[in-house]
Amino acid sequence: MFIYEKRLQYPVNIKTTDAKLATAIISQLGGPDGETGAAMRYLNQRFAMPYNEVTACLTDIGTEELGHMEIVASVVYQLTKNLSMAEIEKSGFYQYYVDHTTGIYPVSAAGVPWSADSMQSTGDPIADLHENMAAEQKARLTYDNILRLSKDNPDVYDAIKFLRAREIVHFQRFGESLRIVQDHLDSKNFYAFNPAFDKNAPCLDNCGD
Amino acid sequence: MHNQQANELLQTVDELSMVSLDLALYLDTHPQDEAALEAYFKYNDMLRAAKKEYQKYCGPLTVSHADPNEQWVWAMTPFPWQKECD
Repeated sequence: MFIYEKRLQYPVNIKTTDAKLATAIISQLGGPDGETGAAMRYLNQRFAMPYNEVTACLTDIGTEELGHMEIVASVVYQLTKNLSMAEIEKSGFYQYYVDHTTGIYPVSAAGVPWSADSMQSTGDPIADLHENMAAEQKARLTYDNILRLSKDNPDVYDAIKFLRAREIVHFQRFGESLRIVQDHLDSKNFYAFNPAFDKNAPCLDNCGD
Repeated sequence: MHNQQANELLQTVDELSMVSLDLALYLDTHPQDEAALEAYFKYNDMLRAAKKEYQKYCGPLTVSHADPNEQWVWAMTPFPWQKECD
C-alpha cells in the first residue's frame, strides 16, 4: 500500500531552461539504469525474499526510488517549461517533442522507451542482491555522466548530486542485505543454492554422503 | 504566509525526513542497533511536529491530513514540481 506525500524528497528549482540537457537527464527516468527500473526491480523482488530485514530494505529503498522518479521528472519538466519553438528546433529535444511535446515519458537519452528487459527479478535472493548492487553502481555512473554535462546549470547540478549520493547509500544497504542472506544460508549450502526455492534440494540433504 | 517562511517550513520537513529515512534504512539491516533506534525515534518525533507546522500553513502533505474545517485544499495547492506554497 502506498500513500502520496505532496512534496519532493529533494527540492527542484531550476531557473534556466535547457532542452538539450533534458534529453540527457530523461535517461534517469526511462533509461536502462534509471529510477523507474530501480523502483520496479526492488518492489517486485520483495516477494521472493525469505528474510524480513532484507524485505524491509527492498520495500524502503524501492519506495524511495518512486520519489526519485518524481525528482528526475521534475528536473525534466522544469528544464523544458515554456520552451520557444526556436529552442526546440535547435536542440536535440525536437525528436522527443514530436511524440511527447513537453510531457513526461520514460525513455532513455537515445529515445528507447523504458522496458522491463533492463531489470531482473530472478526469485533467487543472492542473484537479486548482486543485481541490485550493480544497478546502484550503474545509476551512480550515469549520474556522474550527467554531472559532467550539467556544470553550467547549478540548479540541475545540485539535484543530481543529491540523487548520486543516494545510490552510494543504497549500494551500502544492499551489501549488508547480501551479508544477511549469506549468514542465513545453511552451513551445508556452501554452493549457495537458491535459499528461496531449493529448501529440499537433494544435494543439501545428502551433502558429503 | 510569505513564500520564504513556507520554504523554510518545507526545508525543515525535507531535512528531518531525510534523517529519518536514512536511519530507517540503516535499521533495516541493523535492527538491534540501540543508538540508531533512539536517534530514529528522536528525529521522527521532530519530523511529526515539523509536518504539523507545515500543514497548518501550506495544506495537507497527505490526503488523510485534509482539514475538515476547510475546502478541499488537497486538490488546490500546487504540486511540488510547480511553485512553492504562498
